Amino acid sequence: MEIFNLEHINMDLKGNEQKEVLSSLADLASSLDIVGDKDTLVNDYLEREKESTTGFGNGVAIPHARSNNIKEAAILFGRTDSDIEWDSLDGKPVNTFISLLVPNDQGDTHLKLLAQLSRKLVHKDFVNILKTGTKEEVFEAINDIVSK
Amino acid sequence: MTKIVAVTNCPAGIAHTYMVAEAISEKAKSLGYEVHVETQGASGVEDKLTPEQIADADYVILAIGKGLTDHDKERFNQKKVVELPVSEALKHIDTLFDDLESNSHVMSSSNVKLGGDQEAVTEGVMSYLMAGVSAALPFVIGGGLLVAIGSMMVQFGMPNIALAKGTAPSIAWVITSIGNLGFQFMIPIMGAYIAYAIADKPAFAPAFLVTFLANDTDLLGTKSGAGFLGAIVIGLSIGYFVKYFKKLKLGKNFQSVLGYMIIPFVTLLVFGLLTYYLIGPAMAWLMTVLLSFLQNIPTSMKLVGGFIVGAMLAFDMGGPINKTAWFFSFSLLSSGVFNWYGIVGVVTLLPPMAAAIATWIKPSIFSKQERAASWSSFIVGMTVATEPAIPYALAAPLPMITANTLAGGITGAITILLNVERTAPGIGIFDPLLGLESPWYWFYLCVAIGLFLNVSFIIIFKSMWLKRKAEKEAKEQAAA
Repeated sequence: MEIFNLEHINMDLKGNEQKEVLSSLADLASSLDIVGDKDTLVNDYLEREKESTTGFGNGVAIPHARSNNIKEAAILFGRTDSDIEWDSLDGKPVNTFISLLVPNDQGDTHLKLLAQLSRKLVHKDFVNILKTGTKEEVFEAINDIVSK
Repeated sequence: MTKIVAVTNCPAGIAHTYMVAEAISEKAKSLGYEVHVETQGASGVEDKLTPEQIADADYVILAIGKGLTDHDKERFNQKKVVELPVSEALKHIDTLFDDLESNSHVMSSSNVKLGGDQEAVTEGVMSYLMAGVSAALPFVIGGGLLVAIGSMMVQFGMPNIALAKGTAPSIAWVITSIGNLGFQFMIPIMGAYIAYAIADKPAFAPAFLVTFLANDTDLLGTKSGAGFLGAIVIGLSIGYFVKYFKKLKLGKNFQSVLGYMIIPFVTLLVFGLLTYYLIGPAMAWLMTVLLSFLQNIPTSMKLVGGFIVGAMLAFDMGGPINKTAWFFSFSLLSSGVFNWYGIVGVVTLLPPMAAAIATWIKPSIFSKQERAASWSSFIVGMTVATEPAIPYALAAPLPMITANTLAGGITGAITILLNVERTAPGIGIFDPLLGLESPWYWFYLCVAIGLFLNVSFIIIFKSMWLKRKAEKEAKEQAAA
């Protein structure tokens, strides 16, 4: 299975608060058969947010999880209509989500791709595409990094 | 030009480690600084900082989400360090570099200066063995000192009464027995942590139990356990076995019990039986062969015999080879032959004392832990047991075992040449004072020569070994 394709994008994520959005992301993961159990993923997401927020500012968050519940490494992308309170580093609410999912025993190749993608998230031009680009532009931008 | 080195890590090791690494390096470059960032993520350590980069750096930034090990921190001893949570680093990336001077503190994780110290190995067989060393050292230090105290109490006249029906044991016996637990469990702990370092928790229990079995003479019905070499073999085999076992896909229903039920159960069954039916008999056979070999050395070839017995005694420190040589020498006592047991009295002192002395003469080729254990190793080594040398041998098997074996062999030959005789076990280096080993002047000469040789060999061989290892790593890094 591919680590990222058009089906991994949901430009209309449901939810008005953090837990609901994470649940929608988990639904997406579940429908793509990326995770074993949906609720476990929601819990893993929440656990990670408890450690420290994944909202890194600018209205973008990167909820992620690493667990045996995850079958294949994958990237999910989503946006919500409303702004969601996320306790972000800059205090601003979030509407753009990029989620990284990794099994515990993931091999190196995929981890390196995800590392490349994470590195990109501190570059303003890349984040701008995630925030304002069309579905196709977002796909292009992310796929460019992880299909190498 | 300002030079910066940084280390980043985070709980999951997939996102923030790399975001912050990138943010730090972009920001530093925009300011015209030279920057190197080491990432400690889910796929392991990447862009590992070299000692040169750290030495040259003006400031160290530690953006840490899951802590750093003490050994990791030691690398930055005496450097100006800014330490902050990984998320704070991301939040304040724009102002992070404004006032490095006032935000940094001088790191003093220890008072030991570690210039050119032995580098921490993070991958490969050696790092697994080091995990075994770290776990085993406290056992041998704590246990060894107790055994030394107990033995001295007995030698200085206190009663040595074992536990038996109707008798209360003496305090000396109790202390010695508690201490012996340290020696007994050091071996299975080694095997368990070697396997744990390779394959994580599921490997721990089976490796502990199987190494215990391989070292337990009562269960195996042999005269010797497999010793620390057995712990290495079992620890590595079980570690790799479980590592691949973990990749097994069992489907949703069974996957969750794979790690804590199926793997320990199957591994324990398979390796337990293999150890019982293969390693046990193989060791018994090896000892029989070696013993008849020793018994067949013509008495005219005393020097050769002395060399072989000395080398065997030093080779595996409590393992089957050592035990055979000891058994051979000890059993001759009943026929009134004391000079072979004289070799035991001299050679078994050497490995732990020599390892300790080597850490004092050339600390740079030993880890901090090995240096810290040196006094205990020295004291226990010169009184009651060779075991304290085991962690040093495990940390660098090839050079340490070669040095010990060679020095033991040469010293064995000299000891038999000078006809040093030992009549009963005592407290090591003090035996001549108790009248157990004579003549005293030849005994101490043999010990002195042995220590000189053993320490020299350790320093020469281990330095060569470390140098070759460093060259190999440098070559691999250049190729990568």
